Amino acid sequence: MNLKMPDQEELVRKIGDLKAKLTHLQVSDLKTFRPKVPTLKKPTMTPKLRKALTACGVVVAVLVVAVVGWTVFQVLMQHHEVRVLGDAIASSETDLAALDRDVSALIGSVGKAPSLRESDAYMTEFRGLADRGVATTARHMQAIEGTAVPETHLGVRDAYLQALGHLNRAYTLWSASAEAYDLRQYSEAEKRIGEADREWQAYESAVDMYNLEIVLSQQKKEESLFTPGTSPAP
Amino acid sequence: MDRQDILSVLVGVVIVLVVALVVKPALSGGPGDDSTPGALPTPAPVVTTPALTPDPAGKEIIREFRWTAIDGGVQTATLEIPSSLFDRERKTPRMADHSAWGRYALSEDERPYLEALARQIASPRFNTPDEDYWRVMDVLFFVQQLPYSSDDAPASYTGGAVPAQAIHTPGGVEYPKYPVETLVDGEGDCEDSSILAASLLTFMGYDTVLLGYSDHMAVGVQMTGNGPYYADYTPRSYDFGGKRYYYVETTNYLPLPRTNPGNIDRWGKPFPVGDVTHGSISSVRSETPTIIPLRYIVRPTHYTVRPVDPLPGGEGLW
Repeated sequence: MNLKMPDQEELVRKIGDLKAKLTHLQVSDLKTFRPKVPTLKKPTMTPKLRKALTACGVVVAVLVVAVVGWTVFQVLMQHHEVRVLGDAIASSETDLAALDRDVSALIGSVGKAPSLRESDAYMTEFRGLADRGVATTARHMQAIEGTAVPETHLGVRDAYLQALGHLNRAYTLWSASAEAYDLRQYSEAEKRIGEADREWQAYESAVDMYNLEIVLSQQKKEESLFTPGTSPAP
Repeated sequence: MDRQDILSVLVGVVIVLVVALVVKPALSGGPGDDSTPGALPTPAPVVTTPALTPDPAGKEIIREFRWTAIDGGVQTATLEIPSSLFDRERKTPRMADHSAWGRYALSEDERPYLEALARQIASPRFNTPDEDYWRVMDVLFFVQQLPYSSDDAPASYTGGAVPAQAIHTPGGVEYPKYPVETLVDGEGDCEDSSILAASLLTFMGYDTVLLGYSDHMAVGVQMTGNGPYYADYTPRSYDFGGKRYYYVETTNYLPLPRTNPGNIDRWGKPFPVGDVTHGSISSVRSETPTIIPLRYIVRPTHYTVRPVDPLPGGEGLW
């Protein structure tokens, strides 16, 4: 290849020619301009390949729908379980509040110096309320124990069950105390009611723990939004 | 003044002297040792052993009591109760647990009879300072003079046999009596007289408890500011349920031999309210008693259900 620089005269002459050509250039000249582009061939797809690709597409679509559906299902399921647990606890609270009203009314009804008849009547009613408390707490414990809850709410359920357990034992001790009264074993009755008071204090601590667990469950729930796929607890 | 007038005066003097020197001492006993401050000398017979006096129809038991009152005079009282009441109480099973013995003192069926007896024993003292104290002492004078008899002695019971409801323990027989049983039997041990005293005082409006010692029972009476100026002891009291109960002994009325030769009567001195120093029972001096309230119900300290916080979440979507 001759890489020698053309001399100046020749360059001037070529520039003159190019100028002359560009001066006489028209639009029609551009239309006729056809760059030399190689012709592209459309790829040919075999029926097998087409089927395979279609199948892959369907599988991917199904997987996407499944994952999205499962996630949505899980969220709704957890939501439902929390609602069921909330309903169970609310039902328990309603029954306990009614019992509490009756107990408060009974204890407030007795005077400072009740007669033997009044004392015995009070104790009969006290025993009835204690037995009602035992039955109520046992029923709600069973119901709540059988409730499936999301992992985030396991602590809440356990704390409430613990509170109910203490309450159940306290009412059981009330009943035992009333039974000792009926047997005219006042020392035993006093001992049992002392134990019941300690159980009641444990119940109050368990309620504090339950309220704390609610806060913790909320925190866990927020965290779980970023890590989906938590499975429900049995 | 002629001879007849002098004779009349002399006869009068003789009559007065006979009454003063013979009749009165014969009725009420003579003077004696009154060294226990707060306890008044009591020249008197002890409570007479009551005789069972059923009414003609056989439905009433009548007991006559005669004892030395706080003023040194002889006081009498009569108790009439239906025999069915006595029989029923006798057949009632006894309670082994001392803490329930307050029930014996609160029998509603006995109440009218005991209130009637209390009115005879301790009638209201109008315009008397420390009336509360003196009325308690009236009851003590009566109760302390009931003869002491142990539960295992058949002679302690009307009918001469230990009742079938008695509790037999390794330590012997235990039979706490209802107040009417003690009154009809006319005797009892420390728990019987304590139950009787507690019952009478309760129905008179006093707040009383039983005081249980290892080998004794007494009564606690709620009083405010009990501190007789003449006492050489500090009245013993025990605080319970925000109240102050003073020790009251219901036995141990000290019989003293009369100084008059040939007189078989006794005179003695009761233990006043709060006195634990002059008695012979060592447990009373050294132990802190168990307070046994007459009225008892099971009253829990904690009974309010605490509402829990509502469980958030679960709303709306499903």
